Amino acid sequence: MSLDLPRGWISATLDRRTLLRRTIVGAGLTAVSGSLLAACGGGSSDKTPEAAASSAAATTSSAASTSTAASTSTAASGGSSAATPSSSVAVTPAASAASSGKTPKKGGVLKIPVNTNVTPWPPIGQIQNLLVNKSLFNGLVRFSAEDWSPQPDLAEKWEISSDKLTWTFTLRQGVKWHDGKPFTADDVVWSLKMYADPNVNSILLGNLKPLTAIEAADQYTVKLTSKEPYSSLPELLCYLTFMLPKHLLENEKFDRSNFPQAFIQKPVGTGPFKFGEHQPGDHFTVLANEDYYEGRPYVDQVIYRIVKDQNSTISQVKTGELDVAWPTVAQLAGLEGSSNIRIAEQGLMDYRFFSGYQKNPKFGPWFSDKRVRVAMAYAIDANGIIQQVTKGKGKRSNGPIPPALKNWYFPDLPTYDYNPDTAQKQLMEFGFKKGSDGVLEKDGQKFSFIMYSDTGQPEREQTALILQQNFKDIGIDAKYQGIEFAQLQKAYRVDHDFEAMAYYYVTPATPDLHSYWQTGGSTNEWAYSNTEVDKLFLDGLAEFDPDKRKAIYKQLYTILAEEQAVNYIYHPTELQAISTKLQDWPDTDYRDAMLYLNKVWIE
Amino acid sequence: MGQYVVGRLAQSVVLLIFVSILTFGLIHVAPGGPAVLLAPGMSGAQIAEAQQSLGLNDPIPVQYVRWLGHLVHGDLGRSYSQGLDVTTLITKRLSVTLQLLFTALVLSAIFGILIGVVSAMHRNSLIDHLATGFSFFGMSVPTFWLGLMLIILFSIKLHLLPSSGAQTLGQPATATDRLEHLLMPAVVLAVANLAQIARYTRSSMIEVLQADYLRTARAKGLREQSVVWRHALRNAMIPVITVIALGIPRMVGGAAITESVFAWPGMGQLAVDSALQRDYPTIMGITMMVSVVVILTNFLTDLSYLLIDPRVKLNRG
Repeated sequence: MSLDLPRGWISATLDRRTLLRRTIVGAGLTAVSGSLLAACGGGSSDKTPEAAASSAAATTSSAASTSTAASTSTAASGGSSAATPSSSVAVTPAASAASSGKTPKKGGVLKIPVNTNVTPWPPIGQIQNLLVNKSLFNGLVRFSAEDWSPQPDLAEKWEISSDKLTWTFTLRQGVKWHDGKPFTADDVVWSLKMYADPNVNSILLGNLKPLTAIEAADQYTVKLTSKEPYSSLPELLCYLTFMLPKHLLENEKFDRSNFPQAFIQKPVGTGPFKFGEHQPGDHFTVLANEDYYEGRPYVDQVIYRIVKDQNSTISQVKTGELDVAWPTVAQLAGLEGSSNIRIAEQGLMDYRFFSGYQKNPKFGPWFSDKRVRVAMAYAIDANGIIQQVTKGKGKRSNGPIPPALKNWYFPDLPTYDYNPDTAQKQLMEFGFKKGSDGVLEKDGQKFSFIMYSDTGQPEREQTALILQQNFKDIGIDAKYQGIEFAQLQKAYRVDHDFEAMAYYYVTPATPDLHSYWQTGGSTNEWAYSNTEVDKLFLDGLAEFDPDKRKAIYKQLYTILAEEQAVNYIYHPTELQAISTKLQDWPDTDYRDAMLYLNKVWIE
Repeated sequence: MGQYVVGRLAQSVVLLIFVSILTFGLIHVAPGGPAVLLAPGMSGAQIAEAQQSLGLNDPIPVQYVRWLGHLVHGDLGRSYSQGLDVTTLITKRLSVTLQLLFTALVLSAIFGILIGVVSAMHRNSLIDHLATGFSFFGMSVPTFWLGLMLIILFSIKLHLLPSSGAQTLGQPATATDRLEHLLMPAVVLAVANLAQIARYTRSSMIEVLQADYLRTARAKGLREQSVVWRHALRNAMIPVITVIALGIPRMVGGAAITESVFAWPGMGQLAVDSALQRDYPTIMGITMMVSVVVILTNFLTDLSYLLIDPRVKLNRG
């Protein structure tokens, strides 16, 4: 594949409104003038690097401390001493069974937007698919809408063996697949082995790799064994690890590039909704599952409607063609005065940051030096970015863990307040000198680099522009370049060919983010390395006592914050525009709200 | 004649191969790679493995020959992004697109001819000038702009028509519902074509209306209505039919834009999606299908000259 195009081809200025871009690409395609294709690029704008903590880094551990059985409630009972700001600041009170206080009604259709065609095949992930998967399938465990702690789903309880190497999951009995067959431990074993099979290439591969044995002890008991202790396993199993029916899939052919044809055209799960109809390019409908283990959902069907243009979702929620939409801060103004819509705000497992590539031959030695990173932190006007870009809705970030992950957020980690003078002074102390053109330089090398960000997302584009100005103010010549999503992912993750990134990450709801921060971790794209941090992650994995785990992770995230492993800027807040007809809409971010659609009802 | 047909068909095959090589090369020049390979959460090693298994690491000519080999066996491959056979995907979308194309074609033919005839009959009158103005507007205005304007007017301001999709979701499908959804995209798609048909009808009619046999028709006392619609129009139609036929490939192209604007779940939309997701097999499948349609239409149009107009002679030497 020829990817050696001049970088300038994909400049930010080429990125017009999505629609215009699609239009040009479409016209170009049919006119067989693909040069436009190359120039306009694509990559739908709202993909997120929703990375599982896949671990290429070997998780070796030598810990063998006292055994503590972690039961269902351990993670939750870790206790949140953290004074977390309420993650939901709704214009009208957020709907929940308690607050609405009304008797739920049955019937009606729930209409939810997705950005592109749905392929209901869990191993491949992707936002549009996982929204639908959450209504069709269940996992062994799932995130609580409250604080993202693992809650029972198809597993009623789970505990760790005394040698800390085997997790035992006890399954719920009497659960049926949509085709009426019973759900048993065989399905769990088959599903987990499938996700762990390198030939399937699932997004969960990294999470399941440490498991050395996946076995059914009896019809309703599953044992998962790893070579080293794996305390974060229940948290990671909440993440998109959907159980699939062995009896339907064991005879279907599939591998990493071919999905099971019969199954993806008529998926069967255990979830609150079963497959209804799929009209590609238009909608994907699921119907209430009369036999759902928690009881029949209130609504008769959920229609996932494909709406490509984000602006259209806003106008459609106004006209009632959709029941929910996820507006940007800029789109809020257009929703004012719509009496049929309420706005909710939710915290997200998402942080925005700046980092140089710490192994880049030219600038790497600077970016890998914590003195330079701290100086750059002083140069960044984080609160200015929060005010300008998010209209004050973002939360100042002190590390990768957001306030919304209540059990694992540490509010008193160090942050560096905006102070360009300190920034410049510290860089001078490090040995930089101001060149004739005002740009800092050291050993004949100018502090001048290209900073990538993804195009099509105004929030991130604006952030990058402010960063560029902040850096320029102290003599760092950062050149922002917008790159489309697919190309960006490749530069960061496959080619490791970039100078700096102004980017974002959506992470699993666990403090065990070792793949991001351990030396050589599979998603450690900025190539941060600190042996103490590496060791603390191993300690965390070997510790099952919630309080002790907490102490370890606090120590770990203090280091990341102190030496600014990357420059953490802010945690965005998700906005939800919800039709006032909807009652008991889950009080959580929209991806996880999909886990609880069976509770939603229409007035 | 037989020899001509065989020759033209052979030319068409060569042209198709050329188009496929060009498209294949160009889509691989586009930066990034198939979006599905870059699924967030996949590690670099996983992406590399997936690329290997899809054969994306082979030289482009090797990949092309492999693709062509499958094509010869009627296999368009499997979509990277949706996991279904490209043939299945295209078939599912084809009928939806044909509904739109057919409606637009009928609309543009009926109204184009009507406007053309009326303009010709009232040459240089106010009506004629209005029609000319409309035609220039129709031919010049960008499709996506017109589409957006109609949506703002009829959907958002007046709440008369649905803004997107092919049916009202959550309700049983009815013919009325489908027509309501079809109206705006069909009109948008028809406008440019309609304008062109109107222009050609007008000039063709003006020419015919001055012909001697029409003077004869009037002289023998036929009503003007009958003169215009039965005698003149029929003779003026020959070039217009050509224009209509040649408009079909252009409408196929326009459908990609129109379908994207109105979220009409047809082939055009599939083409745009596939391009954005770098879904190589689907892009190739659609391009080949559209190319066949375009080449075939042109071929049939040429053939029809041969059949309709005895003055067209094949010039060989």
